[in-house]
Amino acid sequence: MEDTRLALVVLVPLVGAILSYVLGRAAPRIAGILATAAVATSFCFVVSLWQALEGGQTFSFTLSSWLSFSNIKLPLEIYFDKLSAVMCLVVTGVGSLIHLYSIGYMAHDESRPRFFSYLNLFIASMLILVLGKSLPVIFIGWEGVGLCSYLLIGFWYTNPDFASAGRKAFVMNRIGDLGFIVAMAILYHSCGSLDITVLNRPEVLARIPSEMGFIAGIALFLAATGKSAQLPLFTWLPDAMAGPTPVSALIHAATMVTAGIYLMARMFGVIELAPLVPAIILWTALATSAIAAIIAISQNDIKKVLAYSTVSQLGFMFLAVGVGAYSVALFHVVTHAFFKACLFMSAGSVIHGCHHEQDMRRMGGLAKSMPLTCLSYGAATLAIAGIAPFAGYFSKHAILESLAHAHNPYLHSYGELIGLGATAIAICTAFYMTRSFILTFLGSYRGEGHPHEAPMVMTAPVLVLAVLSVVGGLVLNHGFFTYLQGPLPPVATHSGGGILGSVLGSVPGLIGIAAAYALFIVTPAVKDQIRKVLWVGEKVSSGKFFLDEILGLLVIAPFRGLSVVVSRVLDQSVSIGTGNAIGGISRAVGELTCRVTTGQVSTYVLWMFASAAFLLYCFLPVR
Amino acid sequence: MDPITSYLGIACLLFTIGGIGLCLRRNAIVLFMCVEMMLNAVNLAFVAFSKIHGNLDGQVAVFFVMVIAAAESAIGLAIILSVFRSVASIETTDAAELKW
Amino acid sequence: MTIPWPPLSSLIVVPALGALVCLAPWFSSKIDTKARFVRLWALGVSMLTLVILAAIARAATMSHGAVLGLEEAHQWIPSLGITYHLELDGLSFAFCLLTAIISLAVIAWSAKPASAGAGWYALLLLGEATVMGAFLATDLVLFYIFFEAMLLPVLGAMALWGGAQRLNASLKFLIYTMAGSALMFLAILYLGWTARAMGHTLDGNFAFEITTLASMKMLNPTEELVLGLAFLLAFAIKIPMVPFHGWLPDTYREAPHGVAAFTAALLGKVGIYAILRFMWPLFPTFMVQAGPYLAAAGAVAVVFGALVAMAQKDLRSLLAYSSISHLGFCVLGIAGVSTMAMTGAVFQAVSHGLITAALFLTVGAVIDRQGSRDFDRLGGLARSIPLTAFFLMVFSVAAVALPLTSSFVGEFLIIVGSWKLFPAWTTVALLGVVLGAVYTLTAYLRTMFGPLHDTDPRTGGDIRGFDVVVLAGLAAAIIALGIFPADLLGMISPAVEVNAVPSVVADSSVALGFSR
Repeated sequence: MEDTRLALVVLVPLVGAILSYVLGRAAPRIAGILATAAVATSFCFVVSLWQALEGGQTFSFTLSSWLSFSNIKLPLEIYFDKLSAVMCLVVTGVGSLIHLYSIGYMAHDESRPRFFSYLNLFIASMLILVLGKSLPVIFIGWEGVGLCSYLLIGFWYTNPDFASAGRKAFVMNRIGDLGFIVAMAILYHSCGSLDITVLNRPEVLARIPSEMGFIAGIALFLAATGKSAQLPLFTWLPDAMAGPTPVSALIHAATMVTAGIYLMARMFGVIELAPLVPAIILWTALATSAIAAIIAISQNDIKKVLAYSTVSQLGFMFLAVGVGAYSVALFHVVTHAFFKACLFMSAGSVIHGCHHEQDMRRMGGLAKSMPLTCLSYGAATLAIAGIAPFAGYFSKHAILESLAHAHNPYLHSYGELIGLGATAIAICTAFYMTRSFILTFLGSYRGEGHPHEAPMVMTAPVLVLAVLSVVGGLVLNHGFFTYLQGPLPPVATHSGGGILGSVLGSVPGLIGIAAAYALFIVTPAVKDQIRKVLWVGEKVSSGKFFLDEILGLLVIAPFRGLSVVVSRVLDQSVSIGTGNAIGGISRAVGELTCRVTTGQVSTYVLWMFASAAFLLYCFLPVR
Repeated sequence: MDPITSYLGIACLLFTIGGIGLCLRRNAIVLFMCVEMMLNAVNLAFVAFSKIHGNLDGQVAVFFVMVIAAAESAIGLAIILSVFRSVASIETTDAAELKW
Repeated sequence: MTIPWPPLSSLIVVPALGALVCLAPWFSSKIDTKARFVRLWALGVSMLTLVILAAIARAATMSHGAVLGLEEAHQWIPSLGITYHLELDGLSFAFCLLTAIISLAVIAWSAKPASAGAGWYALLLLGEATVMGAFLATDLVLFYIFFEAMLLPVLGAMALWGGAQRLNASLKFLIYTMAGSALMFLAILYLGWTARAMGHTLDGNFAFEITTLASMKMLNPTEELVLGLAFLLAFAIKIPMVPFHGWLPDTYREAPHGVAAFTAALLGKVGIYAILRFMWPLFPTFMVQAGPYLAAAGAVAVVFGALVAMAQKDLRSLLAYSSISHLGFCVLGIAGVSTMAMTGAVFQAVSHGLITAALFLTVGAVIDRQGSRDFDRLGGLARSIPLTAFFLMVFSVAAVALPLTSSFVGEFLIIVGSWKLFPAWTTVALLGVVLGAVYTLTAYLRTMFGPLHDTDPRTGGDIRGFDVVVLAGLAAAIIALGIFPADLLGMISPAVEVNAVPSVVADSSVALGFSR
């Protein structure tokens, strides 16, 4: 069903992006209000569309015929079903809150108009991503959010490190995009269409040759690893913390980085063509999640802890994807959006309150000076730790449960190992999050100046998200999986599992919290002992598994070298050199032959006579 | 000896002397005279052949040659003069600039 | 022989006459008001050309439906069978439109060499006329004449107003292109002569008109191979394809900004166009055989150009090599029989023309202002010249083929279209997509971001006035083509099918993996 509201959902933030810059240049105060209003309006449209969704009904809207010509049909069409609805609600809902928060956070920055313009542009791109009806349209959003991410990470561009971080994010995403393009090429040639509603039909999927199906699945996953920061492409996400904190909350925690999970869910038919693909996804996710969790333990920058935690949680979502529990993965996307946005924004308030200090070693005791922020951060910490009845508990529990129900032949004999690994990661998560909470809010203040609580415009949205982190899981838990059964395959899970189940399910989180509490508050001496014993582990963890160095050595350095070699040798010496050499040879031959012309009349006369004699000899009949 | 043959012989001789002079001498005026000598050798041959064939075609050709020779000497001397003005010499070796 | 109104010749004659008028003594005087007047005149002429093109296209779509197929033919040298034959179909139209827009933009761009007067505009208009001619001519001899003639304005402008090494660069450019086209001319003569020898023409004369020649199917495979290689060399140098690009870095370094933009945007495109227009119909067997090699050459060029661009420190050299990389995609697209890829290649050629011209002009503004084109002496300019920085961002983003810009449409169609025919080479070319992001963003980072490195601003100030209109217009065109490409694609694809596809596809579509 065509519906103009759908177009407005995307267009309003787009217009907001232009207006907030143009009008914001005249009056910077307006920019944030305009941008926030635009996203809120978009949210209202999404809600009204969502309310109108009944049964299997969907909405669509064609913006342009785009790549349709001859007999190729690839219109720029957006499409609204239950899956898009969930994503849109998160994007615009959490997005509005973060916009509101940004008004306070960026109040003293002179380039506010630019900031809010980018932020609105991001929302528009993200909406195109989740609303696209065909893969190329999704790709528009996919690249659009990448661009906005690049622009916003490098928002304070006068610092070359920040600008480089933006470039790194863009380039690593581009590597993933190769997979996206390859998958589109394969699917187009096998299925004759890139429409997502067509691509998930079994009879269409049957047309894909099996080896191509494998490549397409892996290619799509490669795309997802780029955007959703999984191995081997995750190192850009921690660097992306160079951007302003609201950006980290919106793009690098709540929305953009979950695009990979959304893509997997949308294309689940392709992902499951070859059973090896989900298995690869699962192992990659497990490795990523574990590595990121271990790194997070030793980080001192509050945003870095959250960044690695995001990577780890994204890995958790991919675990669910790997076992085919897509709606569970999306459930974690939603709850993660609540508590991680809340964590980032609280961290932003802390950074704001501590005069742009990000190092937790120079914080501490902030519970007194920032009670509201402390409350929100605490609630969200409990949520991410997976303590019942906080939001994170339900989604994490569902993931752990779905891991037990895997049917993949490649995973069959590893069921316990995977479950054990996931539980260990959950313990780890609770540990490092509690550590960050303790270092930031408990103890005594170790920094300079006087920390102060953030203004209302910042604390209000944080508190809203904190409330969502507390009750979000409980509320959504009941209907979520059945709601998504239309666009996604059903999952076998029974919500939460009663009071006893909840208590048992919270055990890993409680262990982590207790361990952190014990080590950082009760007996710090033991902590130092452990650090001494595990010094190798600490080196590896604080060195971030040396992934940047390894990538630099294995990928970047060879390409740099290749670039220089190709430029100096193949280009300058061989290609251009050959051209110049041919020119040089002709010139040398010319120099030699022109010696014939001496400028002396006598030589010319001699040549003339000789030639005349030769001609006479040739043409006169000799008797 | 047949008088015609001796005429042609002298023409050949003159032509050869002129040609050799052209190759060996450096003085532009002398070169010029050599060219004139070669032209006159040709004239002599023309007249001789005219006599052999008994018509006036050769004689007519001689007039053309003479006219052209006159025109040529007019232009040639002018060139020699202007060369002399620029390099202060009429030796052809001194005016060997006109090459690549 | 249908001669539309306004006739196709007006697309060539109007700018050519306009160029002549520029040279009138009244214009060439040094008085300021007149100098301003000559710019207005040139602007008017190029604007008029654009309007005429639009009028022709409109008239054609009104009378013939969607497809353009206008012809204009006159006898020219009957004794040699040479005709004056122009044709405007979707393929030509796409390139003519590009020519008209780029000429207008370059003429309107205010920065020009200090010593250049009316001659600057005369040469640019002459360039427009000759390039238009090359895109319209269907008689091989006529095409050849335009193909050579379009060198003259570029060479003239470069030799007169270029950088320090301008004479060297001009000479190199001239020799490279002449070396290629000389062989092509021999091949053209051979074709005409064969047509007569085989007695295929109506009046037993030579024939050089492309449809006549193509319909004869008179060449044996060996002839196709030799002649095809001769043609290919000419176009490979013009595009340029690696390793025939020796002229390009020097030319793009030394030419004045406007001329560099004009050259980069238009001259190479003639090669792409000519392969589709002339080589596919004339040498179908050869082209099918050469397809994998062409695809390989295209893919290698994509990666090669990108790798070399990564190592550049000079902004203009970087643009030059990025051109090689982007045109590699076009070569990949025209290598195989796929409507999708070929249409994409034409679209990519148009799109690259717009983007590269815009980049050359914008970068020119940066260079003129800073007096340096070296990364190490630039930086942080986003703060001091925000508008230029904004436009450079827009065009950089377009250059890395982000969706909703025109280059995405082209590259996407090429990649998806070529995937089935040449999966390996397409994958190689894809690598260029990543490398493209690396060098483009690095260039932007080193120029615009970081601490301000603004010690010696020459003229100071951001771009303003008419220049903003020029860049905004180009940006609008790039984005409009990115969002609404369907009309142009719909014009190009039938022309591509008529030109390149049927001769091969009729008998062997399955074997070739012909796909749309």
